[in-house]
Amino acid sequence: MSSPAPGPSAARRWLHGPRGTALVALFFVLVATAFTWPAARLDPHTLVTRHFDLYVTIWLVEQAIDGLPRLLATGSAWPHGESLVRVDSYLLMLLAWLGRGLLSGWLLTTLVTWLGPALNAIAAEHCARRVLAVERPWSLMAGLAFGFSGIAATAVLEGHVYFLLAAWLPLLLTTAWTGPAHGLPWVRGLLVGLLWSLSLLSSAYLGVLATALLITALAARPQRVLRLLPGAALVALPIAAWYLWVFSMNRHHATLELKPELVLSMGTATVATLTTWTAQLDTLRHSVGSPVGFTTLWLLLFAPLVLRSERGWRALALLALVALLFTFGRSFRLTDTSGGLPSPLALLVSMPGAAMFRFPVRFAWLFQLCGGLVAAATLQALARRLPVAALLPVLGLALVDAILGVGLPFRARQALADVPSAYQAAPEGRPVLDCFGRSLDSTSGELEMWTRNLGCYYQAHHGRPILELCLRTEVVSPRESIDAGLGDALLSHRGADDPEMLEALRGWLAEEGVGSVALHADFYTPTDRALMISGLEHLLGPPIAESHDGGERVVLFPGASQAQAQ
Amino acid sequence: MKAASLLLCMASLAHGQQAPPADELQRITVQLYGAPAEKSFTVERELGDRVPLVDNAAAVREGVFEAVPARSVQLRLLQLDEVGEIELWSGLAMLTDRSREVLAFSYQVDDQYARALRVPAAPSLHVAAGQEPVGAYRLAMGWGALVLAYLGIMVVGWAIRSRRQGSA
Repeated sequence: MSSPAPGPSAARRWLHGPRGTALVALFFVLVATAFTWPAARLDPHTLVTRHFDLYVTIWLVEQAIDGLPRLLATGSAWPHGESLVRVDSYLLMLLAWLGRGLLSGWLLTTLVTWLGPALNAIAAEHCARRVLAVERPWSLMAGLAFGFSGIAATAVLEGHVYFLLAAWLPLLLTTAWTGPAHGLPWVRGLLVGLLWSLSLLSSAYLGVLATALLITALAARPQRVLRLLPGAALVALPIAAWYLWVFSMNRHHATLELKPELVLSMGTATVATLTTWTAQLDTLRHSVGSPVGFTTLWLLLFAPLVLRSERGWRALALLALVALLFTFGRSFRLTDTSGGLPSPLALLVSMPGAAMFRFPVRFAWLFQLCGGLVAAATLQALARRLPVAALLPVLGLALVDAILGVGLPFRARQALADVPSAYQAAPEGRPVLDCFGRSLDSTSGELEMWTRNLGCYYQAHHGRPILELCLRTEVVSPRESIDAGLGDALLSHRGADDPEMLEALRGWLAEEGVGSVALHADFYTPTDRALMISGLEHLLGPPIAESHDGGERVVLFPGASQAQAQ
Repeated sequence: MKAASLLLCMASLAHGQQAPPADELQRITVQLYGAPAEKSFTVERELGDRVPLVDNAAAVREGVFEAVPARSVQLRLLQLDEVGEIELWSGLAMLTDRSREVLAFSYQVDDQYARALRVPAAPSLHVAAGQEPVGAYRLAMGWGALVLAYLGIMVVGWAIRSRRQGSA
């Protein structure tokens, strides 16, 4: 006897059961694979990124293993080390520390790059079902909007992969919105506090966004959320107090904001950058933009018409629109070159200590979450009156928005992950001085940041301490000063023919404790390169190693004390 | 004169190439945007080999180097005219892609650096790096209009059915 064909209710039960959940998770992992390709290849010779910050993020992750308990990285800023009190993401460091021995910096960051968007999407889809009672498959809309957004692409391209640890936001909203369950408000409250803390520890910006979500939930459902607050405070307040204490420590280690206008200009959205991506965006604006996805945007704007008899969505829609306006920063502009209308956020940005608001484009995370939730609810409301077959293509449109509209697979680059092997000949425990030469490109600081982050990335692999400061963006580092001084002396008129100058340089390098000098030969012009190599030979003796791997030519010289001993 | 020139050397996307071994070299495409039509340009790399920059299908001046180091390359951009060669820019370009050719950087030569490099701050060089990518915006707006049209039809259909069911 054959069993009856499953009816709509059976299919619905299947879709909402564990198998349906597994299918949804698989779908988002597949989309994430396409979205962040080729991260899923897990090729140890490749970093999937575009700009220079992934190098230093990997360095930071490697430092976490020894440095996290003391909040001190001993690999950089030799001999004192570098404080880790103001790092971007304590959670990423904590994950590295917990996974020590199993997860290298490369593997952890690549896994976060690949699977972070999928986890964010799964959490947002769950949020849509619990918060706005959106059923599958329409709830997928929320996952697509939040998991595979333009701002997530910016995190990948910039190398700020810790922003992809954003699943806490939808989980926090779900927990706070649905309120105490089964008479256990304390447990739910503790969970809210934990999720808020995880957001803060993922990134300070995500902590701010989590606070905005909590305030919105409180405004929309005061009775429920108020009952959660005591439990939430029990977890969140100690974490927040610790966070503030750590941030207030060593204020002199704070990043000097010498170019706040430049940072703010690059960290804000324009109508153009919210619309699509361009080659110019990636070349001139550090890929900082957030194409919002037309499917999400139009469904959100249709919500007042379609959802007018529904409840619960208005607060989220309002938060989405406010967040979208905040992404513009100080003024609403069409393009980078056009003038703009002043924005209320200008007041916030100009406040002392509000440096973090100088990347207002990150409010797009809130837009993508709340806008995606409302879009999913709108889609479901349409599906109640229209054939499913007519509305399923809308999910396809959202998928096109995620892959083509955001364009991450076409924008991501495969950077070389290998490290020059010459470093292996450097004496253990003694600092390496990386010489990249003096850059003339001081107008943008791009080349300085490239070389600085590359040196730190190499340090994470060769393990010898370096003089570089890896966590600052605007401070002249001791490495740069010595590199420039050495280069100026050896490339000067008399150069390596001046014995007094050579003696003075040896004394200087010995005083700084330099154990070896790594000349990054490709970074010099041919004339300067020849002069530097012959000059360093005069100064320190013949090279102890030379390599042509790791993407460049590195010539390693002994330190001054070894040269004097010889 | 604040800025004499701004050059954009950008990546071109060439798909289907195998990633070279880690210690090998890569191929890059140099593109020059907004070059005056009457001028000729060439790019020289430190080894001394040159490639002329000629218009590609998108009317962007373009030249390709084979086998350059994976992290950076020293280049000189030369303008060729009746008085000879003028070095417009020279320097280091960081490479960010080893499997598809990529040279992605921008460089602004102002008077100070022009002197430092002994480069004439040629007023004739006004490379329009800031050109708005109108084509990309048009494509995006077209896509947005298509999505709006589809969703608009859905919403109108929904409204008609809602009214019918309400009146019934």
